[in-house]
Amino acid sequence: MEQFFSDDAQGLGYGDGELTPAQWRRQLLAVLRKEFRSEIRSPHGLLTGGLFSLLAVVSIMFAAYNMRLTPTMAAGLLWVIFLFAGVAALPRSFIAEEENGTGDLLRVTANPHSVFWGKALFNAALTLATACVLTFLFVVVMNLSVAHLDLMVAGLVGGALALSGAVTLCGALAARAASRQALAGAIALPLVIPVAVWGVTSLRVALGEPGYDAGRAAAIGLIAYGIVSNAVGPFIYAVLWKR
Amino acid sequence: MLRGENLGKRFTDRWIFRHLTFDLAEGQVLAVVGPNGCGKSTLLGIVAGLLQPTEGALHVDAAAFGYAALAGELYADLTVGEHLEFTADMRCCEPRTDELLALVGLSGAKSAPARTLSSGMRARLKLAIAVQERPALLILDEPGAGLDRQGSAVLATVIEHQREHGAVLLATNDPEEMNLATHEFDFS
Repeated sequence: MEQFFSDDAQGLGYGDGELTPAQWRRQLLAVLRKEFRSEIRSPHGLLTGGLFSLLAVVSIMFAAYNMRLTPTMAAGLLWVIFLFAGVAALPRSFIAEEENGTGDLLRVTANPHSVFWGKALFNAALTLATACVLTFLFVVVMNLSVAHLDLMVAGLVGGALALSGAVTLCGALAARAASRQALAGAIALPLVIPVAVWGVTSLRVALGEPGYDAGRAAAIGLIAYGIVSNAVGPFIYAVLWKR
Repeated sequence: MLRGENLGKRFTDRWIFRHLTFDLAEGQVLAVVGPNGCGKSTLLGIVAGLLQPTEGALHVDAAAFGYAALAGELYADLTVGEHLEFTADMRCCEPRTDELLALVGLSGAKSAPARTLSSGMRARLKLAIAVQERPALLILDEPGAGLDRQGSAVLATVIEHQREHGAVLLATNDPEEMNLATHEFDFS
């Protein structure tokens, strides 16, 4: 196999070739397995995001001890926790590769698309698990009633997908910059605003505010945003793959 | 197998090297030597596809390559065996875990997390990862740093085996490693 590169020569670049579906699946599962193993053995994401979220819920519980939170207030508070936890923890999956010096090991063995998808799926799973636990805890502790369970589930799944997709992409974009963590947070701001708006809308309706159609539209918006951000991410990441 | 024509690399305003032309055929070991900061690792990074050259052309006739660098790190939480499984999955090839660990003398450390390995053991694991896919082109950036006498013997064995079916591009300032080369390219 001969590869000829002209004046903008690009080198060998393992992973530039086409993968069969089976190869793509094998790479994706390998990245996912690696992420889960690393997280279980050194739980950075769980500690950063999970502990912060738990502390936030407990603080709100004490602050609002004798208050009855309206659905809108509850949805807003919960989404503030989701956003801060997500922006603090999720970009780490890419940033850590560069900070720990393992980025080149990935680049000489892997395909950028499968790396992005593996990490994005891991972040989505982590976000969904955190969101479910937090929401359950918040509803129970604050004695809230769920008026539309279907909307709550759709909103949580869509929200996790959208938030993780947007913030994972920010982590991938910022991973090779000088001030990675700060830059990831800055890039994330405009990307997560629609997620926050739709997330609060779907959750407040799920908790009893009127306007089911608006809540359903917001949940659909979250799911669509999640699909688009995760679909576009690998292509953007592939452009940044080599220096 | 590998030919660089008029290669040049610039970072912002500073040229690391320019007008670099070289040839590497099967069976050859090309040692790239020179003082620190002259661009040896940059050249190997370009050949490995980690960096894009600013100018020039790279002609390649190798379906797969292996790369090991002193500066590269491993996943602290993965064990030695898990590293080889991971890279095999990423390359979609056979892991050959036991065979490779026996080759580099790490059979007893299969279940050890990478964070517990000495620098010499890490260097051996990187070597095992580099040759896992039986690459036609092996790119080694100061592979012997941190290796003891036994590890240096392992490196020599790996390079000899590689010559039988491919070529080696080696960046080094170590006289023992330079002795393993068939050709030398002096950056200075």
